[in-house]
Amino acid sequence: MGEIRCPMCGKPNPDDLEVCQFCEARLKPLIIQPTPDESNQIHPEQNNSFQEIKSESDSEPSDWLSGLRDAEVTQEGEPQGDSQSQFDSDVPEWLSRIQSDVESDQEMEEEAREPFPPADWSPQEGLIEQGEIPDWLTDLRPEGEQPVESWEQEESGQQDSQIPEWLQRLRKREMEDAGQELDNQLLPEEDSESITPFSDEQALPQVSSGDPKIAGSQIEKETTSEESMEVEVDGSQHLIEEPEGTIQEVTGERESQPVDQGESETGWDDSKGREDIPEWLKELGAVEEEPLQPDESISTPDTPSGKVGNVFEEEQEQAPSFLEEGDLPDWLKETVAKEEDLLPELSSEDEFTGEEIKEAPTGEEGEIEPIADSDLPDWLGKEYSEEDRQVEPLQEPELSPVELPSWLEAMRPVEDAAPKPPTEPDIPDNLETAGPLAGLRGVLSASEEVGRVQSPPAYSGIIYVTDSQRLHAELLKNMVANEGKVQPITRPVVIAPQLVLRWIIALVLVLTVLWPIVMGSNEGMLPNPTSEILAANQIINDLPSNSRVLLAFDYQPGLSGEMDSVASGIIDHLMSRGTYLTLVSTSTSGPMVGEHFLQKTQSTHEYTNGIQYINLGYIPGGSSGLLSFAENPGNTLPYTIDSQSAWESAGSQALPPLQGINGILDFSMVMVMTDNPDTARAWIEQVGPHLISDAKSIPLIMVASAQAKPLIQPYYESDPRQIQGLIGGMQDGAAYTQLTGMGVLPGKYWDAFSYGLIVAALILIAGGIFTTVVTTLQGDRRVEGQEKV
Amino acid sequence: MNIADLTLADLFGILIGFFFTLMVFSYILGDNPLFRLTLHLFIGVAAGYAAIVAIYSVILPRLVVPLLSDKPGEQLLTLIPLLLSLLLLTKILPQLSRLGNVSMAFLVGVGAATAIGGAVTGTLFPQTTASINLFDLPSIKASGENLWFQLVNSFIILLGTITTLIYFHFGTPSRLTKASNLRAGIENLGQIGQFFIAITFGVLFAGVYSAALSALIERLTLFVDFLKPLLLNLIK
Repeated sequence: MGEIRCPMCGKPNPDDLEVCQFCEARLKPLIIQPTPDESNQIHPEQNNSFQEIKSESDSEPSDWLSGLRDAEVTQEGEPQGDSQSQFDSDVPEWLSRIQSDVESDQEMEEEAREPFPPADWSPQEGLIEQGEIPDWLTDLRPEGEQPVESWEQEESGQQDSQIPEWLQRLRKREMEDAGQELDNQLLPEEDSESITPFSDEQALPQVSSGDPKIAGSQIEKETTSEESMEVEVDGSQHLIEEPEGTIQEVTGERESQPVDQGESETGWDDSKGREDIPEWLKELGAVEEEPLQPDESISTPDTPSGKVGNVFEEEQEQAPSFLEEGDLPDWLKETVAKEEDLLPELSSEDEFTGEEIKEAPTGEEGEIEPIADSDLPDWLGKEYSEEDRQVEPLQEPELSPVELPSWLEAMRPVEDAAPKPPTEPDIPDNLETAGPLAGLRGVLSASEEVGRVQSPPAYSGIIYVTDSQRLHAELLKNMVANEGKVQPITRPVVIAPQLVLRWIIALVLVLTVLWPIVMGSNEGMLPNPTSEILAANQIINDLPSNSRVLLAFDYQPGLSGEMDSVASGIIDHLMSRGTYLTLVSTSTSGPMVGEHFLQKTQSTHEYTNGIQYINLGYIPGGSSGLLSFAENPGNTLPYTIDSQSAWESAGSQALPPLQGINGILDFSMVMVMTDNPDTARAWIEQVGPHLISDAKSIPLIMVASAQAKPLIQPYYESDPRQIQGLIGGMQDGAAYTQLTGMGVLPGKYWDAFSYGLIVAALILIAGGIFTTVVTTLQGDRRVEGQEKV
Repeated sequence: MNIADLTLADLFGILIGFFFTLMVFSYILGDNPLFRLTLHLFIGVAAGYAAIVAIYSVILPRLVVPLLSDKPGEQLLTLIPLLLSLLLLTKILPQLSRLGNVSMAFLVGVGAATAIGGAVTGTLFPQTTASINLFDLPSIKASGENLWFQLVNSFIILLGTITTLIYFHFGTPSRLTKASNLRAGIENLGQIGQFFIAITFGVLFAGVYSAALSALIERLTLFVDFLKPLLLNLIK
C-alpha cells in the first residue's frame, strides 16, 4: 500500500484515505464530473480522433512519428513549401491546428515577455523573402547575416538552445502536468481491462458541452519537425519537450474553431497577434501563409459542430476496436496488472506516437503513476520528480538573457532611455490538482508549498570567536574571578625580629644624639656657607635700616624644631639690622608658629607686637589668596591677628611695620619659611612675579626644611634666579650661623645632628651589607637544597 | 633653662610637651593607645585652632564686620560671598547639595586658573629657559667658572631631565607583534632616568631624615633642658 503525502500538512497517509488522518484535509482532489450526456458528446469525437490515429499507426505500428521524420528527412533537399505541402498531406488537420495554436501562443508569450521588438526578431525573418524586403530594411541587416527563407523554415530550425531557458522549464513542468491531465482525459474507466482512451466519467472533466467555448479537445500535429510537444488542457498550455523535436498540443478548453477557417494554422492567425503586426507585415505574411493552409481533404475530420473537439468522438467510437484485451502486448498486460491498483485510470494508446500508453490508475485520483520508462517514448520517458515540479518554477530569476542580433543591438536605445521590457502580467493559470481547492484555477498552489514543508532550520548556538577574543575573555574572566577571592597576605621574609631591630636602631640613634646634648658638646665644626647662603646673607646685609620685611611662617608645628633652628640665625640677623617684621602665613597654624618662634628664639631682641613686628595672620585661599595678597595686601589682610587695623586708612594710621607700605613692592625683602616645597612653589609662582618691576626688584629668600630644599634648589639655580637666597635644613642654618655668628640653636644642635647623621649612615651601610650577605646565603642554601632534591 | 625662672604656665606647657613627646615615642614599642591618644589630641587641637583662626581671621573681619558697617556699598559687596557661602553650606544636605555646585564651581574654577597660570608662568617657562641657558657659553665664561665643569654639569642636568621624562613615557606600540628599535631605545633611556629618579628620592629621603633628626634633637634637647636641672638638683 502506498502513501499519500498530505498537501496541507505534508504528513504521509495511506493512499486509500480520502482525508488526511492528521489534519483532515482532502487528500484526493475533487473533480467536477461531467454528466453522461456531456461525456457522450465528447467521446465520439475523441474516438474519431483516435480512430484516425489508429489507422496511421496500423501502417506504422512502431512509431508513426518516426515515419513522419523519415519522410521529412527524404525531403530535406526540397523547398520548404513543397515539404510543407507534403507534410500537410500526411498530417491530420487537427494536428496542424494544434501546431498553429502552439505557434500562436508561443509567439504571444514571447511578445509579452520580451522587449519589443523581440530580440530574435528581424524584419527579414518569417514570411519575408529576400526579394521582397524593402531597401531600408535590407540596409539595416548586418553583413554576413543570411535572411531566413520562410517563417516555417525558421520555426522548424529552432533548436533547444534557442529556446529561452524559462520556456524550457515551463515546458518541462507543463509536460508533466499535461501527462497527468492527459491521462485523466484519455483513460476511460468503463473498460479497465482493455485500454480505452477515454472514460465517460473522467475524460475531460472540466469540459462542458453546454459551454459554447468548450467543445472538446484539439490535437494538432505540427507539419514540420518540432522540438517539443505542447499540451493544452482546459486552456492552460503544457509544453512537453520531445528530444527529437516534435511539438504536439492538446487543447481542451480552447475555443473551438471551424476547420475550414484555417485562421489558426499559424501563430499569425491569432487576432491578437495580428493586431501587433504592422500593416505591411500583414501583407507580407499573407503571402507566406498560403502554403500553410490546411488541406482539408486530407486531415480534417468531419466535425458536426465545426469544432475540433468532435475528433475525439470519432476516436472514442473506434477505440474499442483496436484496444481489445487480446491485442495488448505482453509487457503492457504485466504493467497493467502491476499498477492497476495504483493507477486511477488507464491510458490509451498514445495518439501521437502510436505507442500504447501504460495503464494508469483508475480508481485513484491525483496519484497518476508514469508509464514504464523502458516503454515510453523519449519525450514521455523523462521523469520529473516532485521536487522538480516545485522548485523549478521558482527559478525564474535565472532566465537567460535574450540574444539580440548585433545590428539590432546597435539600434537599441540606451538602457536608461529605452522603455523597460514589458513584463508578463502575473496571471496564475495553474489548475489546482490537490487539496481543498482542487479544480479551481488561478489559486496559489498549495501542493507545491506543502511539499516543501520541512523541519525548521536548526540554527547553531555556537558563537565563533577568534583567538584574541578568547584570550580577552579569559583575561576578563580571571580578573572577575580574582576579585571575589581573598588574596593571601604574603608575609615578608623576616631576617630578624622587627621589633627588636627597631628597638636597637632607635636605641643607637637616641644614645648617639642624646650624648652630645647631655654632655653639652659644642665642639663640632660648623659647615661653610654655600653660594645661596652667601647670597641670602648679602641681601640681608644690604637691607637699609628700618626696612620692612615680610616674613611668611608656612611650616607646621611638627617641624618647628628644625625650622626654628634654621631660621633663628637669619631672623636674628634681621632683627639685629633693626628691620620691621610683618608676619603672614598660608597655614592656619602659621600665625601661632610665628609668635612662638619670636618668643622662643628672639626674645633677646625684645621685639614688641604692633611696634617692631605685626602678625597679619592667615592668608586664606591658598594660591588664590597668595595672588590676592601679592596684588593688594591691604585688602587681603586688613587686620592683624589681634583684630587691629594694620593698614593706613582714612581714620587711622598704619602700624609701624606697615607704614609706607601700599603694595608688596614696598617691602624691602620677602622671606618664606616653609617645610613644604608646594608652599614654596606657590609663593614663587604667585608672589614672585609681583616682586619684580621695572624700577626695582624685591629679593625673595627661602628658608626651607631639609626635605624641601632639593625641590626648591632649581629655582635658585635657574638663570635668572627666581629666588635670591636659599637656606635649607640644619646644615645651612649652621652654616649661616657660622657665617654671621648669630643664632644659638644651630650651634647647639650641630654636634648631635652630626653624630646622628653619621650613625644613620653607618646603620644604612651596615644594614645594606647584612641584607646582601643574608640574601646571598639564602640563595646558596636554596641552590643547595634544589641540588639535593 | 632654669626651672626656677619658669612661670607656672611655662612649666605646665613644658610638662605637657614632655609627656606627649614620650607618648609619641612609645610608638617604638608598636601601635599603642598612648600614641593614638596623642595623635588624636594633636589632630583635634590643630583642627580647633584652625577653626578659631578661620573665624577670627576670615569670617569676622571679612564677612561680619563689613555687614555691620555703615557703608552700603561694602555691605552689598559682602552679600555675594555670603550668598556663595550659604550655597556651599547646602552641600551638607544631600537633597540641597546641588545648590552648592555654583560655589564649588567658582572655587574650583578660580583655583585651577590661578594654579595653572602660576605654574606656567612661574615654573614651566622659567625652568625651561634655565635648562636652555645651561649651555650658554658666554654666560658661563662671564661667570668665571670652569667651562668644561659647567658643561659637564649642564649635560648631566640635561640628561637627567630628558631621561626622567622618558621614564614616565607610558606608551605602547600600535602593533603588539612589532617590537621596534625605537621602543628599545626609549626603554634604555628610561632606565637612565630611573637612575636619576632614584638619586632624587635618595636626596629627599636624606632631607626627610635630616628634618626628623633635627626634630628629634630638638625634643631630646627639651628633655635634657627640663630634666638635667632636676636631676642635678636631686644629685646634689
